[in-house]
Order: sequence, then C-alpha cells, then structure tokens
Amino acid sequence: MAKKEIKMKKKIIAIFTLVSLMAASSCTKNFEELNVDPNRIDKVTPGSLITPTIYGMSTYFTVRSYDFTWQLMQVGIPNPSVALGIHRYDVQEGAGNGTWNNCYKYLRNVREMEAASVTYNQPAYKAVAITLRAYITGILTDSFGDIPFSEALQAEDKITQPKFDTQEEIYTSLIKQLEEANTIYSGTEVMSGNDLLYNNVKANWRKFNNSLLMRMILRLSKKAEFKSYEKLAAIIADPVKYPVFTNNTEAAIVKVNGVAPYDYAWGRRQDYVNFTAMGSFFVDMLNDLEDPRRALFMTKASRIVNDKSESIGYKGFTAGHSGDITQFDFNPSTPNGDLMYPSAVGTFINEIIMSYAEVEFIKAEVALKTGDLAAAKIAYEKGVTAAVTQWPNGVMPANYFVNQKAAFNGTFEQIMNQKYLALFFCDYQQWFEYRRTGFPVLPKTEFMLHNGDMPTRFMYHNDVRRFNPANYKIAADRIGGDNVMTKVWWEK
Amino acid sequence: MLQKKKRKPNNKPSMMNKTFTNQMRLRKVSKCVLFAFFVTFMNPLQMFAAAPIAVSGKMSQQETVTIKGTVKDAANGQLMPGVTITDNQKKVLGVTNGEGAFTITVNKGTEVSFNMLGYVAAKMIFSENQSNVEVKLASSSSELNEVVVTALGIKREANSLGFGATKIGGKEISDAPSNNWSDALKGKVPGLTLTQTGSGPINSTRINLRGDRSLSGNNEALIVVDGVPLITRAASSGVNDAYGAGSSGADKDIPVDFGNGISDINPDDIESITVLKGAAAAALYGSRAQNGAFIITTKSGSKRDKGIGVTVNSNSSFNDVLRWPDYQYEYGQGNLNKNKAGELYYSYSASADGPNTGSTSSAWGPKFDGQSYFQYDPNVEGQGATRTPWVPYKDNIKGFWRTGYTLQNSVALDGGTDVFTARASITHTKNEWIMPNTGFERIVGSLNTSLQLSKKLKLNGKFNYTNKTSDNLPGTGYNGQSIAYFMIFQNPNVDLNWYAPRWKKGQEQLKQIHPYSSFIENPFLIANEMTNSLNSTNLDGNLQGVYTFNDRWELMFRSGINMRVDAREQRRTFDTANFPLGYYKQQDVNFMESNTDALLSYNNEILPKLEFRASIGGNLMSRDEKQINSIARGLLLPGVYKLSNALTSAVAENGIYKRKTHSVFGLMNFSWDKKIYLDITGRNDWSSTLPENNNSYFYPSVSSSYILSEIFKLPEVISFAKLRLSWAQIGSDTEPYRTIKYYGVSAFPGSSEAPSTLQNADLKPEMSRSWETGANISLFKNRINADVNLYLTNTTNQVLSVPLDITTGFSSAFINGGKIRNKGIEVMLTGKPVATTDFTWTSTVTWAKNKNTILELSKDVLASQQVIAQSGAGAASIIATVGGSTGDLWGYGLVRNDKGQVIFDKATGLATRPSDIQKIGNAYADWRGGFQNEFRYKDFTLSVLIDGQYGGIVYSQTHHKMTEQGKLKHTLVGREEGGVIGDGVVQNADGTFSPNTTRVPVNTWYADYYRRANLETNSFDASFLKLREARIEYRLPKSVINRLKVSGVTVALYGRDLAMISKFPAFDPETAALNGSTIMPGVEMGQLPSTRTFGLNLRLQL
Repeated sequence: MAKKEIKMKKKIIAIFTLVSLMAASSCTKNFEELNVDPNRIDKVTPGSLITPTIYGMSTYFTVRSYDFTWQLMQVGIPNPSVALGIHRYDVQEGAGNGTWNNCYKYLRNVREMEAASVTYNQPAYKAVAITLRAYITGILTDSFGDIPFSEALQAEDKITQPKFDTQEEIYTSLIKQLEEANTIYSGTEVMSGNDLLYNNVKANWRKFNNSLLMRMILRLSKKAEFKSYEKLAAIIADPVKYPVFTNNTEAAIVKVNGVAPYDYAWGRRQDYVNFTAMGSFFVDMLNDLEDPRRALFMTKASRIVNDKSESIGYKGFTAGHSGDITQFDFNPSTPNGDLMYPSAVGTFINEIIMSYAEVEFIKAEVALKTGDLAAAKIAYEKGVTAAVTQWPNGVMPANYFVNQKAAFNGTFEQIMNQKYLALFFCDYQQWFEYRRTGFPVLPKTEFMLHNGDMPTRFMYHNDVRRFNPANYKIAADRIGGDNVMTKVWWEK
Repeated sequence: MLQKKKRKPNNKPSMMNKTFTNQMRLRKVSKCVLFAFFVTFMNPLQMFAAAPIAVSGKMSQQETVTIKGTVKDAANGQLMPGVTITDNQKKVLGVTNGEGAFTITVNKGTEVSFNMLGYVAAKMIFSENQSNVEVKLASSSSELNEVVVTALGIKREANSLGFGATKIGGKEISDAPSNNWSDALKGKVPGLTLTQTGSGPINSTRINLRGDRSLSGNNEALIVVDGVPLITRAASSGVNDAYGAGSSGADKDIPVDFGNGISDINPDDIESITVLKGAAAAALYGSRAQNGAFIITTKSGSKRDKGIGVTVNSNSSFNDVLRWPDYQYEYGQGNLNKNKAGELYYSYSASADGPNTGSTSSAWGPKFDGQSYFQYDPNVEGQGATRTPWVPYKDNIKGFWRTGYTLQNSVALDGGTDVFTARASITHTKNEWIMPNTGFERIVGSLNTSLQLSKKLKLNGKFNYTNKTSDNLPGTGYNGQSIAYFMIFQNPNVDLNWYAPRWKKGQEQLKQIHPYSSFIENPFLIANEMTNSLNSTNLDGNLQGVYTFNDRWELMFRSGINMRVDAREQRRTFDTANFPLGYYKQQDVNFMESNTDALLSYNNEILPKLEFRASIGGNLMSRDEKQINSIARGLLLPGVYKLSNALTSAVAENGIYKRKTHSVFGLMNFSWDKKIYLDITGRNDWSSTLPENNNSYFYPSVSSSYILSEIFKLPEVISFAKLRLSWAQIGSDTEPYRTIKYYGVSAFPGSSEAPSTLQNADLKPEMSRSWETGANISLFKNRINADVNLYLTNTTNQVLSVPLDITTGFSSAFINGGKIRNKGIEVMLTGKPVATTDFTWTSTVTWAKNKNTILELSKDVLASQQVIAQSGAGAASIIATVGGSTGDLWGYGLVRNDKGQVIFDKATGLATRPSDIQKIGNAYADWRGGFQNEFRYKDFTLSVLIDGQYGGIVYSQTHHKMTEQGKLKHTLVGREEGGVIGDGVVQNADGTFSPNTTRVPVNTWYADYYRRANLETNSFDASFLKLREARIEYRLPKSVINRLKVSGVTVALYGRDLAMISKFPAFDPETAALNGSTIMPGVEMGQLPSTRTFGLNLRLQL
C-alpha cells in the first residue's frame, strides 16, 4: 500500500512539474523577439528606393496622360462618348485624387531615400532624392496650386495636419534645392543601387536634374520678377556648370518590356487600344506636317465603300463633339497598341519622365524670347528631330523641314505646337504648357463646359477636407477657391 | 486527519482570491508571476498525497457493505453510463460503466448519492450487501435544465448559467446536410449571422454573433472543437479586391475562395454545439472569444453489451441554381448603331449592312424580329458568308450551369469495455458543383478514445484528419477570369456553344475563341484550363488527462494541435486579357496552432446548501502561419504549368507570421441550494503582438442566475422561471508586427518601398465590456418555453488600421481607438401545441435584433469619418462616423430637391451628380428570424424551417453592369420610345424646379443613372424570406427493425434553400464580397449563383 502511494505521489509530482514548467515557460522574455517581422526589412539603402519610384511615377503618368491630357489637349478621346467627359471639360471633383495619392506616395520613398543617404553617407542619393522630389512636387503643384510641402510627410514626427505652402514658396525651394543637387552630383561618389532609369550613371542624373531645373524656371516665365529667360540663358550658356540632356539616350525615358515586374502601364492591351479615337486636332496637325509619328502613334481610319472597308488615311474624331456618333461616317484612327502595349510582350516601350526634346524646345523658346533666331531655329530642329527619334522605330525623314508647315518660321506658336507634339505621353506637360502659353490654339465646341475655357487645376483630394480642414480652408481661400477653374500662381 | 482534509480545501478559495489580487497588482511588475502562482499551489500537492492514506486507514476499521446494480433513466429505462456515485461527504465511490452498472463498497448506513448532470440525484442508504439494485434517475424538473458544455469543456446545467447559450443537437446539423455544416445553424440560433461569399462549393463563411464589435473587421466567433480552437483563418489567394477588372500590378487575378476551414468539420461527427453568445460565456477563452464561441463536442464511444455499434449514413443531394436575375431576350448586341436608313442593325465585323457592331458587350442592338444579319459563324471562326436569323439564345448563360450533386457516406463504429471506449468514423464526400469542372472531394477520419487508466486517471485522446482536394474551385469577383464576369458580359444573341471549342483551329493554347469583346474570356477555358486547385489537409488532435484526486480535487491537462496545410495552384492560359503570356502560381499555406492547458478544479459544499467550485488554469497558445507563394508571371511554353517554365525566374513571395499568447485564468462558481448561482472569472493574457509594456492585460467577468421558480412560489402555469444577469470584460491583442517600422516589399529586384502604414510602438490591448440579462420561462408544464436575452456591449481601445491623409507621409496608421456599442435582443420561443403519444407538433421561433452604434472614433483619427472597407474601385465604402454604424454603406447617390424629387441636368437629361459621397444605407439587417415547425406522427417526422431577414441593403455590381449593358428586363423601358425621360425635375435659372422633359438615349440613360459609382440606384433591400429546410423522415418501426436485426433505420427526404422571396436583382441577397481573405458585407461584386438542394438521407444503425 505504502509503495503504491509513493508511486502515486511521484505521478502527481510529475504532473505538477509539467504544469510548473509550462508556467515557467510562460515568461514572456522572447515575446519581443517573436514580434519582429521575419518578412520585411527595417533598414533601407537609399539606392533601393529608386526603381519603385521611377517605375511607379512613369507608369502612373503614362496612363494619366492618356486618360486625362489626351482628352483635354485633343490628342485622343473616348469612343463612344455620348455626353460629358474630360474632352468636354467635365473635370470632376475626384479627377485629381490619383495624382494626389500617387505623388505623395512616391514622395515618401524620396523622404526615406534622403534619410538613408545620411545614414549610409551616400550624398549622391541626397541629390537623387532632390531631383525626384522636384519632378514629383512639380507635377503636384502645377496640378493643384498650393500644397502641403514643408510640413508634409512627417506623421512620424507627429505632424498630422501639415500646412499648405504657397506655390511661390515651393518653386523657390525646389529651384534652390536643384541647384544644390547639381553641386552634389559633381562629386566623385559612385552610385550603387538598383536604378531602372540610369543604371547608376550619375552624370545622367545630373543632366536630368538640370534639365528639370530648366523646366521649372521656364514654368515661371509669366512671373517677370523671376526673370526666367535671363536665368535660363545663363544656364544654357554654361553647359559645364549645368550639363543638360544632349541626346535621347540621356533623357529621362523609362524602358519597360512588359515582363513582370516591369509590366506595361495598362493591365490589358484592350484598355489602351479599345474605346479610344484619336483626336482630329492632333491627327490633323501631324497630317499637315506629314509626320512620321502618325504610323507610330495610331492606326489608319477606314470607311465602308461598296460594302468593303477601305483605308482613308489618318483621321480622328472631333474633341467635344455633340455625342451623336452618326455624324462620323468612318471608323477613326485609334491608338497603335504596339506603341505602349506591344502584342509581342517583351518588347521595350518608352515611358517618358522628361525628354531631351523638351530641353531643346526650352532652348528654342529662350533663344526666341531673347532675340536669337538662329539659335532658336537650331534648337527647334533638334527638338523636333529628338521628338521623332525618341520613339521606337522613329526615323526622321530627310525632307521633314522642307514642308512649309514644318520649316522654322520664327513664331512662338510654331515652337509651342511642335513642343505639344513632343510632349505626347509626358504626364500633364502639354496641359501645363498650354496654361502657361495658350498654345497650341485648340478649337472649341459648344458642347464644352465652362464656355469652352479649359479647366486649370484639379480640386484638392476629398480627404484633405476631412483630415485637415483648417489648413485646407486657408489654402482654398488663398488660391481663390478650390475649383477647377482657379488659376494657379504662375499662371496669373 | 479527516479534519485536516476538510479544513485545508476550505482555505483554498481565499488563497485563490488572494493570488488573483496579486495577479492584478503584479502584472506590470513581473511577467513570471505564473511560476510563483503554481509554486503556491505546490502546497496542496502534499495534502493530496497524504489524503488517500488517511482514507484507506479509516476504512479498515468500519463495517462495510458491497452494493451492485444498474442505473437507468426513469423516463425511457435506458442504462446510464457515467453516473457518479458519492457518499454524503461528496467522496466519489464509483462511476457507472458503459452498461450503467456499478459496484461500490461503503460503510454500513452511508447515504449514497447517484449524480448525473441534468438529473435529480437519487439518494439511498444501504445497510446490507445487495447485488441487484436498480436505481432510476429522473431528469431535472425543467427541460431547460439540460447539460451544456461551456468554456474550457466544463459541463454545466443550463440552469446554472448566467449568460445566454443556445444548444444545437448533432441531429439538427446532420439531418439536412449541405457542404458546410454551419448552414444548418441558419434560422436556429437567435443573434447569429452567417455571411457567405457566394463563391463556390466551399464557401468561406463569416460567423458573427450579436453584431460587429470592431471596426477592424475581426468580428468572427471562435470555434472550439473538443476544447481546441479551430483554425478558421483564410489565406488570401493573393488578390485583395473582388473588383479587379483589368487593374494593373503584378497579379491581376481574381480572388479564389479556398475556404476558411470552417467547412472541414464532418457534420456526422458532431454530438452537439453550444453557442456561447455573450462575453461572460466566453470570457475564459480570452481574446478570440470576444465575438462569442461555438463549442463543438464530437461524438464519443460508449460501452456496449455485445459487439460494436455501427452507424452508416448515406446522403445524396442534388443542387441546381436557386434563382436567376431577370435577363432580357428581346434585343441583341449593339450600341444603338444605326444604318443609313436610320434603323438599328447588326453586323459581326464590317459587312454590306454597315460597320462592325459585334465588339460591344452591350445589348442595345436591334430587336429579335425575325430578320437576318451577318453574324459570327463558329465554323469559319469569323463572319458568316450569309445573313443568318437574328434570334436570342435563352440558354446562353443558364446553359453553362449543370445540376450538381453531393454524395456523402459515412461509417461510424463505436464501442468499448469498462476501461476503454472509442468511436471511429470515416466520411467521404464527393461534390460536383453546379459549375462545370468544379467541386471537391473530402475524406474525414476521426477517432475519439477514452481510457480509464486507473480509478483516478482518465485519458481522452482525439484525432481528426481531413483531406480535401479539388481540381478546380471557381474564381470569384468581377474580373475577366471569373465566370461571374462572363455571365454579365454574355450577349443574348450569342450561342454558348460557339465558345465550346475553346481554342481557334490550329492555335491551341495560343488564341482563344472569344469572338466578341476581347475583355471576355472564353467560359469553357475558364472552367477547364484556368483552374484553381486545392489539396488541403487538416490534422487536429488532442490528448487530455483528467486526474481525480478525490471527490474535491481534479486536475485536467490537455495539449492539442491543429494544423492545416493547403497546397494550391492557379493556372492562367496564354492569350487572356490580363495574362497575354499566361501565369502560374503555387501557393502553399501552413497553419499550425498548439494549445496546452492545465486546469485544476476544486468543488465542495462549503456551507450547507452552498456549493462551491473553483478552477484555476493556464494556457499556452502558439500560432504559426507560413505562406509560400511561388509565381511564374508569364510562361515560356503555352499550357505548361511548371515553375521551370517561367518566362523569367519564378518569384518567391513568402510570409511567416508567428505569435504566442500565454494566459492564466480562474473561475469560481457558487451555487446556493440550486436556486442562485454566481460565477466569477478572471483571466490574464500576455500577448507577443503587443509592445512589451502593454502586453499583459487582465479581465474579469461576473455572471449570476436566479431560479425564480425555486425561490418564490409562482402561479401554477409557470412551471419554471429563471433570471440571468452578467457582466464581462474581454481583452484582445492585435496582429503581429505592428509595433516597429518596416519597409515594404517591392516586386523589383534590389528594391524596397517606404511603408504606407505608420507603426505604433504604444499599442494597447482592446477591451470590450458587456452587460447581459435574460430570462427563461416555461409555461403549462413546459409546453411553452421562452428564452429572452438583452445585451449591451461596448468595445473600446480597438486596434485599428485607420486611413491617414496621405500628405502626412502615410496612408494609414495603427491606432487604438473607437468605441462601439452593440445592443440587442434575442428571443427564442418553443411551443408544443400538440403532444400525444402518436402525434407531436413542436414549433420554434427565433428572432433577434441588434443595433450597432459607433459612439466615438479614435482620438487619433482627425477625420470625422473612417473608411472600414471598400470595393468596386471605391464605389462602395463602409464608413464609420460617430452616431453611425459599422455597416453604413457610403457612396454617391442622386441629388434631390426639398420635395425629394430627383434633379436632372437640363441640358443632358441625366441625373445631376452630387459633389460628395453620402450614406446610402446600412448593410446590417434590422432583424432576423426563423420559424421552425416539426410534426411527428408515429414514425414520420416532418419539419419545415423558414427564415429571413428584414432590412439591410446590398450593393449589386451585377445589377450595375448588366443594366449599363441592357441585359436586364428593366432596361426594356424606353427602347422603342427612343430613350428615357428621367422621372424628376430640372432646376430653372431662378432656382425653381420644373419637370424634366429631356429624353436620353437608352444606352446613355441606363449607363449613367445606374453608373457603378451610383450606390443608391444599384443598392437593394436585402430583406428575404427563405424556405430554408424542409424534411420528411421515416423511421422504420421497431417490429421491422427487429426482423432486420438492426437497431435503427431512418430514411429522409430533404431540401435546403428551396425557395426565396427577395427584391434583390442578382442571385442572392445573402452575400458579401470576398476581398482576399476578408469578407465585406453589403456588397455583391460578381456573384456566382446560389444553390437549391434536394437530398435523400439514409441512416442505418446496426
């Protein structure tokens, strides 16, 4: 009996030892270690942030150019389009939401890149961060006007309601920063990241930086006190201090081959090709120039003659038409799918951040405005040539400028018209330049809203009204009202 | 010695209390209190060891008698195993064996008590040896006093519960089975809401009790099988928005419902389910039970006289589509294209009749009027050489679906000896779903054993194996690869068979046949080649030891694991809009959860009539999840689905998620003369997911029950009355890895991205506090029973991911915040209008109403609105506002004047667009109810269950798109009149209104008025009434059974979801969008048809 009891006692002790062990192991010492994510990194190198930012921005704005700029600038319109739509200047409250979200989204990569450039002592990436910030913020402020800038992106420092800076403050700051970056780029440091745009060729980044500097200074040309043309002339005169794009290979053009993760900008080829007609204004301008880009950009229109479909050359639909499709007795030119979504996936396409042609057109404008017609002609022709040859299979015909319409005639309008063609697929640049210069002169129709006056900005994102009401109100009042017809500061 | 034994345990409660207080005080000081806690308990250990010696020493000195006999149920004379026999000291003398027999030896003249939960204890005094005693136990006075299994597997009499609990017997689950056992709960449990995605044969189910408590979307009840929590987590197939048509990004795919594990329980193995709805009920399970708990007890074996028990259950059922949207077959494809004569015409690619009109997915074309056009000819895969008759194909969508079937066969064996009992069952289920080439096969094997190792030590072992395989499960949502999308886009003039060859001649695997809009993928290609296969294995098992030291002390120790391994494959062919070069993905998901519990229990009558029971225990929970995604985004060779066939290197996108929770808990039950019951519980959790200084949290509960019919003398008609009152608090942690800043994974090599969500190093545990009161009343000798509950729950400090203004540098942040109140009422009425020997009629009504109110949004949220969920590219949002509810659907509506008339634009005749989104309605039902009637006449039983909900709205993407495209009958209006004039007004220059007179062409009208973003015009009342179950059963009479030498045969014919009344325009209002692994209520986003089931059930007991 006694033996049995001892045995039982042992058993009980064993069970309780187990329980106690279990209890002891419930100490939570390893809990913090356990709650460290085994999947994601908690430090980042500055170079690793370039590719997602470049790809994200260029891809988003390639689609936006098509969805928005094309319609507003009569490059192409939705088909069918029975009523309203952007080409009839129906710019809705939420039209700028994606722009707002995407720009701020990629600006946070820029924030991390700048911080990491300090952590890892790689100042070249501070310069890259500045270049990218100027590029992204430029689009933002040109689209909206005053925006959160100096206090933006600082939720970690408890700034959850950033103030809106004036566009003037933003431009002043960005131009100063680009100057600083130009100096940093001149250093000897070697870049070593994953760089979809320039594959770590720092000299090209510097050229992009300075080309962007030119774009930003030019944008202020209406603000006499900024002396844009004078400043630009000085930059153009000193290519050693201010190297800029000198050919298409240096340009900020992203090459994408459609193979994951480098997918083309559209989810489906159909989304780009279907339900769009090229705009007659754009097509006719190219027709006048007998421009080789027509074949690259679009298909030929067709008409049924004697029960057969017959090609009728390049022909678009009128932007802002009545909505009654029976007025067009032909099938219009449509986007050439192979330009942006080749049927042979794997073929590289171009997504344009900033082209070399744009630099030449800036030079042409500056030369023209400062009275140097000869230089203007050279820059104009270089610009046109670059704009044609920057596209895959883009070949400049030897006789292009023989055409009266193409030969340089010394007018600002001609430069701007060609710049309009050159800015094809370059985010909202056609729109911005139209707002700055009024060129090209776009036809109006009675079906356009706002008496045919083009909207000049997006309304702020709805979220801002909910999250940051006080600062929103200050900004909205200051710019003259949060609506699509308010002119931003540089446009006034 | 005896005195010592008596006194010592009496000290225990105070010790326990003290330790609890210490717990509260110490929880911030030390994380190792538990250890100290158990060290304190080492003390009684010595006492246990000493006690038996004392008893045995005493026994030899007195005269004893030996009694042998059996215990029977007084009502039906059945032998009762498991009856505990005690003396007046509450010392256990023995337990009846599987045959209800017992042998005890007691001191002469001792009062012996035979006890069984749910029965009135029988007391007897023996003064001489007896060998043939027959003890009869009568069931407790009230039928309500059944035994229910509560938290931690503790069996309680229903009377003693201070909270609402609904028990569902296994028969109700397996009587009219569907593919998912949880379907059988519909309409039977007041307060229960089951939301399913309408996404195929293994529907993921969202089980919700008493409304949504949290803004974070985690509102699902805990499911516990034999004490071990079941993994009900779904792993997203990788796509997190049901609305995904053509969206760019790496995976432009559709969500696939691979099930969330709930359906893996074999309904035939379920003995009973106790639904613990209130927080007090579930407080002991901690965080995960804050939304209530389903305690499932599986069947176990019992000792048999001779041989073993064999139950064979065979079930065959057939499914077809319950209901179709109202398709129109009067007009064909086109977009109001007119020929030179100004007539609508059709031409598949350009012809003599005019330009091509055959690419559109809209049906605004010419009327089917006996005319002929150039149409698609499947033989030439292009335009036919001659004009062919312009006719509708009414089977163009319906013809795709078939009658599905489910065959479910199970065999269960059970038996045992005095010391060992076991039940083993195996069930095979084969399902061919209503969509071609979809379905699944499932094998469930389970073993449930119990071994009385010694008089004091009992071991229970349970093991369950489920293997579920499917060659193809349908993709869901609104995206090119889903059949839902095809059904929307299919035109009335298109013969489904034209798609049948799948690939163009000579271009197999390269060019699919989709002759019309290239947005539509070939449905046969989707069903047969764009497959989503699954091989899921679920293993769960636990080993439990119960050591009964003596009649007062008992130790339970249990360790269980539950693991699920899903091997999934997704194949996408070449030449699809989203994947021109195909796509292949392998996804392996491993879930593993282990739980180890110990529970030490004590019970005693501390004062006359005052019974006391206390338990203290601990739990270690560890959960690991690993997802292995290997993806070939683009293939080299078409039709070859291997990672080595990737166009570029296959990508691995894996994730590991680990967490642990350690807990200690205790409970005390007091019972005063079986009249008043009081339960007090407390639990402290330490969670790895919270920051170190906030990771320990304590929460208590108190519940009480008053048997009024025992306390007071009530009128005769009231046979039983009970009142309940409880208060409880439940703490909860969060998901892992939210406290430190991490960078986002980038699809690009050597790249990463800034985080979009702001981390929070100060996260606190979430707390919900609830009050509950209720009553059970039985009238007219239990002919009418009523069970009513009222509850109020406030949830605070919820861990939420809230949106931030993106200009702050983050899109969202993890915060603590919000205060949500749920209050409601639940009623269950059971009546027996007729009860004779041959005929009984039982009627049950369930009814529940929950009101969900947001009292506060987080102080950290600057906005007055907080987006909880979104679908349809932002068309439908669930937005939280103070005073609103967590089911508020927001979106754009119509603009109205003061009189409520819709304002149209004067120039265009289209509805004026509002500048901001507004609340359109609420996804939650106002109330839900069920009405069940069962008629039994001799050996026949007929039961009919009707259930439904009133109120709530559902947004329908199917309605939006099919209206825009002119596919639904309501779009016939205005076609012949040349357009529609919107019913409303236009605003004049002076601000007055005059009637709208502008006629708008039909395609523009329907596309604009019912545009996707118009939540108002595309949302519908979700009220419905369903004939949920109907069943007729015949039980072979005893005489026949005896001749057949079997113990029971039943045959039943049944139907599920046989009919529905609803205003919802798509398939079924009981739906929700599947957004990856979460289910968003109130939104239909590309629904698959729901089914109607007819079945035959045969049960044979040998």
